[in-house]
Amino acid sequence: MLISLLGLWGCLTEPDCFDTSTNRVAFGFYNAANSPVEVEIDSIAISGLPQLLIPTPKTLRQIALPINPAETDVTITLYFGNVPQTVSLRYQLQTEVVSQDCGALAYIADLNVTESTFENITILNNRLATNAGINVKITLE
Amino acid sequence: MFSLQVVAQTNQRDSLRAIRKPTGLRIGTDLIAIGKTIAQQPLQSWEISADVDLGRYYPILELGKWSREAELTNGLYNNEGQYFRVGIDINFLLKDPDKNMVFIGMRYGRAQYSERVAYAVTPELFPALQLTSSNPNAAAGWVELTSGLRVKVWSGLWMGYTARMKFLPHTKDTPGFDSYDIPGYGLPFKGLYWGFNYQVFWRIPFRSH
Repeated sequence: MLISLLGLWGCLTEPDCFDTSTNRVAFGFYNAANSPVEVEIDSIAISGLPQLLIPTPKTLRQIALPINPAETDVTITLYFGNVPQTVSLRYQLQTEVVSQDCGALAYIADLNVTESTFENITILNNRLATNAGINVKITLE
Repeated sequence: MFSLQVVAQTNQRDSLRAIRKPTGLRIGTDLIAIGKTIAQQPLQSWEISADVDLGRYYPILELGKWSREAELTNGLYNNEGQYFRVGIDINFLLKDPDKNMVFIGMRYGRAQYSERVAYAVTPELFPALQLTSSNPNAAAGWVELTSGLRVKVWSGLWMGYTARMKFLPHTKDTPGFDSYDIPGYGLPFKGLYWGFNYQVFWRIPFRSH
């Protein structure tokens, strides 16, 4: 009986094929009272991408922006009208070999802010994942 | 009279369970591992074992080499390394004149290995990437509970099997990624892993003076 249960445990511990890896950093905008706040962003420049990104809609409370897994640094410029605000991030790539069927996944982790023109910016979650919520919290005065 | 008989039976049982001088060295190998290697399976390995009899107790040392190649949906994983297990088997056939065995036992295993994965990812808005990651000097340990048989076939030739329940895998020096496959153990993410060896042995008796 015990051996059967242990065998069943062995079968039930197969890894799930949930791929939550992503190369999108989620930014959230908050006011001083720590409530989500809407901002209007006209365009976004990301180092390594030749074109500007235009968010739709332009008014938003959070946004997930792609970064290049082949690099370890990125500078993102958010244009609020004609006013640019920049944030530079550093990160590392982590490999996970899940299974033969699920393959190997690349997670972007150890995210930190190296430079920013925002006065109040903090990392809430330093690992990018589709279920990780907000990674970078920007508090606007 | 009755109490004397009880004492005599108790003494005989204690005598069968006592640790004794070893009478021989038994050296063996795993036929399943050799078969897989000859058949060019993705897992290539060999294993040798040596045990001695100390009464009903059989201290055992097992050494092995292992390399695995696993095709992933988006790449290729491979590893190569060696391992050893050390432990003891306890024989429950106490009165068998040939020392045939039905046993349970325990092992502690250690592996030294390297592993590497090469895979492709397709990030959003950026070009597809070919990535590699490796653990060149990984090490691991684990515990096993074993059970099996050893039967004398002819002269010094023995055959038998060992079933293994492997657990508590732990790794170190894996900077690239968490180990996917540990030589001598298998897939650590399963938590509990089963193994089976079908073995052939040759027993070398010690000379008695």
